[in-house]
Amino acid sequence: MSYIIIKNAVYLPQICENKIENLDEKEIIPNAMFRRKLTRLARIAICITDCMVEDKNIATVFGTAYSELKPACKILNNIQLSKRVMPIDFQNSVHNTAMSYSSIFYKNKQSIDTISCGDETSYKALWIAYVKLLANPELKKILVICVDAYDAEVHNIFDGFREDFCESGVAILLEKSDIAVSNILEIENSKLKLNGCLVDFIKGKIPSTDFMINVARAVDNESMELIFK
Amino acid sequence: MDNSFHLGALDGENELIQLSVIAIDQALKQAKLPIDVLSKVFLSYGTSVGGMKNTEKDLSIGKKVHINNHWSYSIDETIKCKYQFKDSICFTTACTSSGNAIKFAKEIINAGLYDIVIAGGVDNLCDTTIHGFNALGVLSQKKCTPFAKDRTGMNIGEGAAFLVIESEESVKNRGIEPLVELAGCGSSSDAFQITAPDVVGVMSSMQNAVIDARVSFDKINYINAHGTGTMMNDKVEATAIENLSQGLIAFSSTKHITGHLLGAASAIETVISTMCLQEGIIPGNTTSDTVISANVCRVATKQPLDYVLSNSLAFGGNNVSLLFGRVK
Repeated sequence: MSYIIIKNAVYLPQICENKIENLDEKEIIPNAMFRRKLTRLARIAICITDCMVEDKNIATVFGTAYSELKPACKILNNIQLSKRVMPIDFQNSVHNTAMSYSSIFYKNKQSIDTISCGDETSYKALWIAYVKLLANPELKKILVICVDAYDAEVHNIFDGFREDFCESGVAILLEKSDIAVSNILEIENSKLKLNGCLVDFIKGKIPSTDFMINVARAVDNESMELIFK
Repeated sequence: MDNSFHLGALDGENELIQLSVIAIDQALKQAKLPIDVLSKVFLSYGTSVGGMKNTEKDLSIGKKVHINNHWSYSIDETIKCKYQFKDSICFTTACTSSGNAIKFAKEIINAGLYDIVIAGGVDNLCDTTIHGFNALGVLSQKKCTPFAKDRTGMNIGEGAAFLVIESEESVKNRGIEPLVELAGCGSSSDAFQITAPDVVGVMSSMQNAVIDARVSFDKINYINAHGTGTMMNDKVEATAIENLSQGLIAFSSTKHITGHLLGAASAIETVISTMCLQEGIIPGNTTSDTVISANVCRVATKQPLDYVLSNSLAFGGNNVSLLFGRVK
């Protein structure tokens, strides 16, 4: 009998605050040349991975709803103004940019999936990771990361956001174990139950990361069995 | 095109949805999948640029774009609702998006959660990709010539391809004849550079596919390469293939026919790989007199095939390899 265990969960202070205050990018990414190329999502993904796992060569599922809006906006603005598109903006504009930089930084050669599922992004990212552990006997652990960020620069092109600067990041490490743990977190129809009791769902400013942040809050540094029903 | 299967009007829908619906209709029809089964089907879907063309259109008339309309996710939500599929996921790993979607289809079936998955991808031409690839200096002004010594870059294409992927048990229960077996799926990360592939990463992806399929590499008869026609991609991929196949396996790219469909590339090359296995044909790269490897198949060759491997490589060193086997 094998159990899927939440070993570790970290989220950045998004729910109560406007800004991620503890992101120590310069210490974690000392190479200034490399750091300068990074998008905000990549910085958050690298920093959040730093505190999650020792062995960073790990299969990963990454979720982002909005993706790389800032470079995308730069490209769109340049096209509108008939200006040349910059190569760095294009290479930084795809959904998997953040994890690409993270994989280069951590020399992570494992399988990395990126998904984008709107407000359900973090729910589905966690579910995909769970399915991958069920489907692949040789896969023993998987890291799930969800990050979204936007700022005022995107408001000249996009609307439907809050007006203020907003960013959010969360990571959860799932591992297979032969040993049962006493706490069980069940997920059924996007509802969370901890040891049979419904967990209050707190809504943050970026809905796409809410689900995993609520899981991380429920876990609260305890190892927990995860069951998707 | 016969659109009799689709469950809603196409008028007014955006191009990505139209392309997807046409491809999904064909796949459902070919698989003889009854409508009442669709509510138990999972949609695993990939796109690279998603709604970017809609965003560009709105901006060109001075209209701000609601973020929900820009989301790649809005496309598969629309498709999911149109067919009333049970659930869906949108993979967005640039040019491997539909490859990862197909790989996940196999995983979700292996996990015993679904019996039938519609998997594939779609992308359309938009200014962002054309200007973007042009900025990287990899677009060819001529028809692309993958693996040619004098290759000049890639051509971007647009389109959709979807497949019905089904468990063995479901195929037996429905009494239908499968086209091919999705024998193994592999993926890897280069951890090298954002826009340049790495030999070791590409080799690892192919090795993972054959390990997953539990077959040896020498059983592969043909490799449908990513083969974009850029200097860097073709050199690295040809080296990776030659290292693993010891110069014994024929390979070619079909992007000189389809163009590079970005997020849909892996799906359309899955369709091509399926046809190769069924017809026993290795497609040729006839577009140039000189090629970079003796194993590049230049002229279409008819021979019985047991296994075909299809590669897809993406920005950030995201690699996917899918291994297909002839149904015995």
